[in-house]
Amino acid sequence: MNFAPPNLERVALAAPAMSESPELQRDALIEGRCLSKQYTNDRGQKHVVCSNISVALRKREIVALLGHSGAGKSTLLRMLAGLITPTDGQVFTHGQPLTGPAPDAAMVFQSFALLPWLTVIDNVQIGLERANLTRSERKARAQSVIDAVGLHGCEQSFPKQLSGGMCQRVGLARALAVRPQALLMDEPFSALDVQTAQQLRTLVIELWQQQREGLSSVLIVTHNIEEAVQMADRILVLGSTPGRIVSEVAVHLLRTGANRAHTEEGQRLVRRLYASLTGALSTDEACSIRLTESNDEPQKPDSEQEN
Amino acid sequence: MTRVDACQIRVTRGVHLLPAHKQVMRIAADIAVVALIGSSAAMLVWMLHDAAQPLATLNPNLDVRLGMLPYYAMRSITRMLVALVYSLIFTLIVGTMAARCKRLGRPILLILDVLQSVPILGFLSATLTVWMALFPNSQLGVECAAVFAIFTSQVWNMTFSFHRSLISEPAELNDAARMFHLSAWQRFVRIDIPHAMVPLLWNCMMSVGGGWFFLTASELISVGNDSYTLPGIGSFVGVCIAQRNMVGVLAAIGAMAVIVIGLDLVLWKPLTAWAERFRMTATASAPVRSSCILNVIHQSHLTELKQLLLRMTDLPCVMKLRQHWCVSRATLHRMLQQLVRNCKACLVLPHISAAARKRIADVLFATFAGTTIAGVMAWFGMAVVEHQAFEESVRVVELGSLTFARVMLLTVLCSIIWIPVGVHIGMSPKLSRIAQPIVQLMASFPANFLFPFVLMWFLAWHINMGWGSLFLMALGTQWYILFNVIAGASQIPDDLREMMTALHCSRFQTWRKLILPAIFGPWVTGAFTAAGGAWNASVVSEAVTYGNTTMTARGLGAFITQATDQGDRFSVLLGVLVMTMFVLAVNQMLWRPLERLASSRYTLR
Repeated sequence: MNFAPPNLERVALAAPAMSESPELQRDALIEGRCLSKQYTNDRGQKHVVCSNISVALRKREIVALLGHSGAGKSTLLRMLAGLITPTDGQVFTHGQPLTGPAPDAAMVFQSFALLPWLTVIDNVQIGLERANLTRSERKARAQSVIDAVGLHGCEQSFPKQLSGGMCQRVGLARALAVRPQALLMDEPFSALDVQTAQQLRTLVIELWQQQREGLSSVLIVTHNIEEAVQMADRILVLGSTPGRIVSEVAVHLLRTGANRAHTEEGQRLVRRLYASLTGALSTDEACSIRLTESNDEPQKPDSEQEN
Repeated sequence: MTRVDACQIRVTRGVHLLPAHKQVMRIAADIAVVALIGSSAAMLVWMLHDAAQPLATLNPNLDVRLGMLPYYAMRSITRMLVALVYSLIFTLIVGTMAARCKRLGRPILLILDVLQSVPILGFLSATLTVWMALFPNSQLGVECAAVFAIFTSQVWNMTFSFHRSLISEPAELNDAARMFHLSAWQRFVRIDIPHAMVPLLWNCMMSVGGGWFFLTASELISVGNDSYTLPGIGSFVGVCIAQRNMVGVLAAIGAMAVIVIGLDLVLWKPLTAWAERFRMTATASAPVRSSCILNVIHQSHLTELKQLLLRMTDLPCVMKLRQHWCVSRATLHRMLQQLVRNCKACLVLPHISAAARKRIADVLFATFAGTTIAGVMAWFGMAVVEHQAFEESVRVVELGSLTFARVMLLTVLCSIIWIPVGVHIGMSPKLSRIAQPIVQLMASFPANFLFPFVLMWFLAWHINMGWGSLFLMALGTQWYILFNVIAGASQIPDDLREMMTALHCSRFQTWRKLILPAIFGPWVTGAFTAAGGAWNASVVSEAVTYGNTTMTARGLGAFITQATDQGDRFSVLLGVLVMTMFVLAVNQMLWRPLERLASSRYTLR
């Protein structure tokens, strides 16, 4: 990968300006400030995956990170989860700097990351083994989340015997079982067929609305625009090479039972996000940076309309 | 949705009370399991009791009546299994260290690579005195030496396999383990071991097969003037060969066949069938492994017993203990952290960035490693000067290149013969279902039991031992190539083969464009193992004795054998060192690049 050096400099120059806001966001569960990540490959070439990204996940909201594959979405999510340390910048939870995996967060993975040699209920219990619970307490808690995600009756089956949608339900139950405040989801539905994915999206929104197991906020990484519109209160659009936030869009659509993305306003938002995404991809770096600057302008009238 | 129904049905079935005849079956299974465990334990106690006799009672002239064979077989099996247990412990500890400690990883792998290439006689002559000193006047010293020798023939490929499994764990699984805050121990038990289980088990089987080959060398210990004969099937064959007792050799071959098949039935079949659950992905093409013994175990009340034991952990006293343990562990952790912080505060270190600290540590480590290697080289150089062994060194290197040529030729010839056969077997599921277990049994049968017969054939046909030893080496090691090629050929996806047919590709083209590239990876693994085995086997195969007839080939293996017989420790050391150098050089310059090529270009994924 070759980047045009002047653009990189411009991005780097922008960094100090953004880091000057000193106080942390009060109601943020997880906040990443000026996060950058670069990898060095075997030949010593540096590859910037994320560049100077600030994100906050506040209480009681669903945030979507929307971007193309390779835009550094998953890297950003893993930095916020404390799984990888950023090259620059810092992650805070409840105002404290984060070292190691975030304590109040749980993660749902694209490939489910279930242990094939454990039964469903054992998989769900895996995060509970450290908690000081008796076996029966652990089992009861696992059983309650299994029921919540609609897996009743499958406790003793192995992941191999389940369909993809079922497996992701297990992944969701495992995450909920540890009673996380923040649920981090890494492209959770992209390995599933359309119908199953839709069912699971509705399930996650329901669980979030009911505040099941104390679930407060959800951060979902996706490349599916409709998914982002359907689920999120805020959408952060990531541009690629290097990954950075191109625009932030607030979604003010009512949560009814139906899919919000299929309403008229929803479709308009989808189209706008699509333009923003493709614009960031098809033009070169200079253009996309211009797009970042000009993106704040048209955002206001749009959100007013949606209100 | 049908899948869900299926699992629901299974759940409800467990609740129903079983009919009477099933209950009887379960109780019968219980009795069988108890009998199996009881007899194994009794055998172990008996064998350990016999092994701990005073040294004076060790009979230098082994009783070679045929009636003694079952007893000898049990002694040998016990030795083998004890060595296997130690190998497993070593593998779990060292493999984890190599995979998890960043700085220790490379040196450990290098040391393992060196140790792997040292022939078994080298280990024996180096450590015999240590074992004898540890257990003075007891047979246990000799037993330990034998077990250690078997251990050194088993352990290395197991460790490498475990290490490879650890570093190839899926990234998301790793993330999940950290995200859900698994402790190091939980991670080891829940993820590391299950993920490594299938390859580790296959390597255990291969290791035991390799161990049988060196059984005679491990049980008939003669280093210089010290010679000990441990009761066992290996020494039985050795003594029979020395006495030209043809009936004895034949009986031992029969007993060995029974042992290999029996172990497969009682140990490996149940274990591999059980380990199927640890496969990451269920492939439809893989044959369903079943084992009648495992079925019996599943029939018994063992699962209920396990449930009962697990429920015991909920008892208040156990919970209290656990709480105490948690609290004390947390306190200990805090204290340690405090200690580290205090130490850091005491040492007024100049502020160094993490990167610089890493670099300093790297430099220190490299210096340490370099000095060690230089020290060993210098010490050995001094020894060569002291013994005035320049000419001998040159001669040993020359012998080494002879053996090297033999090993390479063997690899090439076996490949030419077995690749077509292996591909043919592997591509036909029906054939491979029959052939694979047979090949596997052949691979575990110690070929050196057959050496006397081959030797007589050589004598009758006046075959030169230079070529003959090549044949003897191939007898033991060719199976690795065949085995891997069969496995590789059976994994060629059907759609690729159909594509070749649909495009009307000629047979030649299919072989060149699909089959050979597809089996390249497995072939490299097999040929690498075969070549490594051939180096070790050269010690046994280049100098073969039957009665007072000895046939010797010019080569490094024969040199080491003769030097061991004469008790010339310097020559043994010289020979072992040269062999290690050869093996290491070939590994680094040939096999590792081939493995890299195979994994980067010729993987079917």
